[in-house]
Amino acid sequence: MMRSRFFKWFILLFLILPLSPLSRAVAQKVEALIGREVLNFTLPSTHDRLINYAEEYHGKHHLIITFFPAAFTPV
Amino acid sequence: MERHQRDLYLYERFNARVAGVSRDDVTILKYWAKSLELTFPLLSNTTGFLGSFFDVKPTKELKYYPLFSRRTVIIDKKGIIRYVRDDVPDYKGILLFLKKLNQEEAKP
Amino acid sequence: MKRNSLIILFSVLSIGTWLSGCATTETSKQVPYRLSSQGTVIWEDEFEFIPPPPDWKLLRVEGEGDINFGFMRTDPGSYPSLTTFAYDEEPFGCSTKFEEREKEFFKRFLFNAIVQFQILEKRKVQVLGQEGLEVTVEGKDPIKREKVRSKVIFGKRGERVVGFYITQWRPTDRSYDLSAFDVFDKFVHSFKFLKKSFYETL
Repeated sequence: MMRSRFFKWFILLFLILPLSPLSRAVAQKVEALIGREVLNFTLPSTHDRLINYAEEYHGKHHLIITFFPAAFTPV
Repeated sequence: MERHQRDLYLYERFNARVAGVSRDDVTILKYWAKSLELTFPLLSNTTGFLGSFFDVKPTKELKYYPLFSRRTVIIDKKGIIRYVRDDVPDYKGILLFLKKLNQEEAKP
Repeated sequence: MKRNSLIILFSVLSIGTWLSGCATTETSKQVPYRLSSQGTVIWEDEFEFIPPPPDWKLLRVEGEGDINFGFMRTDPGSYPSLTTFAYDEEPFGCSTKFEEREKEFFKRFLFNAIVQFQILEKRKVQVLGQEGLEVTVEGKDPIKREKVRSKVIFGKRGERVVGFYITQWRPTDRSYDLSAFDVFDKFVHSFKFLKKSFYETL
């Protein structure tokens, strides 16, 4: 009985352990993005026109994009 | 966003541009951009597809309209994603990275 | 029994390996300044200035954001009787031109206090070895019966605007102590950069 209880805890431990590198999973996803080609996008902008990535930036400028939750919040 | 505006002249020196993206409607973004006197564009991505492409984590606050969490990416002029960082932008880090990109370009 | 011991040992080693990735050692907090033989303060090997008298307490802000550092003095009298002055490497605003930066800055200055500022004086001054802009303002809150007198001096570090400010709070019926502003002026005029900023080395 002690042996089966022990093994239960042991299995539980090995189920929990892989959860720890959640941050590692995020880091791996970030690494997967780097080196990837960006998709061409068109979005409405605060400059009263649609902005298309290929027309505005591709081949001309590097582009910094900051994603943020909402207007009127600190970024 | 004000920090981006403050560093804009340096971004331009490194041949870079900046844009902010959220899931807000463009009208709200225009009011905000005007209040901050931003000269660079904010883009409205109500469907969230661009955030999905860049693996931006959704926030937990609004269950049925998840917002973007903070993430900054840099795409070089060839269209390749070169830099990804979560949370508040590392503005000095961005400038150092742009300097590095510029130096790479300058090499024959 | 032996098998169980081996399993336990293996589990402990696994947890240990996992935890070792998270371990950090606490670094001791170092004082960010030292005194020179001339009696000036050298702050993080970056700035040098004449310190205020001992009744002023040091203010420090951890991390980026507000002011870099400053000094505060509680003045005699009823609340609020407080004077603070500070150096700010990145005062609120974006412009590299003083006049525009001044307008941007005062949109946010003492925002939480909700006072309306009136410009008492605005003039060009010499600061950090070149031309700067000095603005003296006063704000009043008639409901709380408080007033504040501030002087903001904008200067340049390379291409970027830096700021020095002093604010002195008083109840509406009490007078300001302008000697504190002399201490501030001495601090500003003695202020020197000992090395180039991050932006100047880009």
